Amino acid sequence: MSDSVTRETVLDLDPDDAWHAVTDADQLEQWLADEVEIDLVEGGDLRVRFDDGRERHGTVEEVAAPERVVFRWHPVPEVELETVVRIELEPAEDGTRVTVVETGFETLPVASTQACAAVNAWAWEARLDAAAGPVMIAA
Amino acid sequence: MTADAVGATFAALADPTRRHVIDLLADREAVTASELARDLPITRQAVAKHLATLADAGLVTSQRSGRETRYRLTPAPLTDARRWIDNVGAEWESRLARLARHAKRGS
Repeated sequence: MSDSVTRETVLDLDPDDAWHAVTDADQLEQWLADEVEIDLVEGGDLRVRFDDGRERHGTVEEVAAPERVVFRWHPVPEVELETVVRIELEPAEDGTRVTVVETGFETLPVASTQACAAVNAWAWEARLDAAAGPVMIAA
Repeated sequence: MTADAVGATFAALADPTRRHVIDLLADREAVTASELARDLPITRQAVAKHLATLADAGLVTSQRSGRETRYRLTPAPLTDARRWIDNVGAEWESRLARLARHAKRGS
C-alpha cells in the first residue's frame, strides 16, 4: 500500500462549472456524500454525512479557484488522525480534468506498526489463502 | 468490515505502548501479562489494562490455564484495517464516477 491514493476523471464541464461541482455544498451532495456543509475559505469547516450515519469532519486548507481546493478530514470515526485531500482541476481536450489525491495514510497506526511485517510472516506460515496475499506492508 | 470496527482497531493502535505490545505478541506464541511487563517500562497491571483494550478491539485473545492467563495476537483486525485503507481508492473511483455522471454541460 502506498501512502497516497490518486484518482482522476474528466468532466464534461468548463473549468468554472467544474469548480462549482467540486466546491459547492449542493453540488458535493450529488457525489461526495449525502449531506455536505463547507465553508469555502482557508480554515473553514467541512462536514459530510452519509445516509448510513457515518460522518466526517474536516478543515479547508487551501482555496485556489478554479484550480485547486485542499482539505483535511478524519477518515476514521473517533480516531485523531487526518488525511489530506487535494482536488486539482485542469482544462482537458473535452472538458475539465479532476484529479483527487488523498495522502496521509502513513500516519494511520496500521501503516506504522511493525506487527504488519510479523503478520505477513504469520500469514505465510499459516499458509493462508494465497489469493488473499500479504496485505500488510511494514512502513 | 465496518468503519466502526476499523475505528476500534485504529483507536486501539493509536497508543504507542499498545503498538509495542502488538509487536511483542507478534514475535511470540502466547505470553502472560507478567512476561510482557518484563519487556516494557510499565507495570503488569498497566500491561493487563492495555491487553484488555486490545482484546476489546479483537486484536488479542486470552486463554486461562490454571492460575495463568496467556495472551496471543489475533491479527485479523489488522488485516481488515489494512484492507480498509486500500479501499480508499475504490471509494474515490465511485465518487468520481458519480460526479462525472452528474456533471454534464447544460444540466
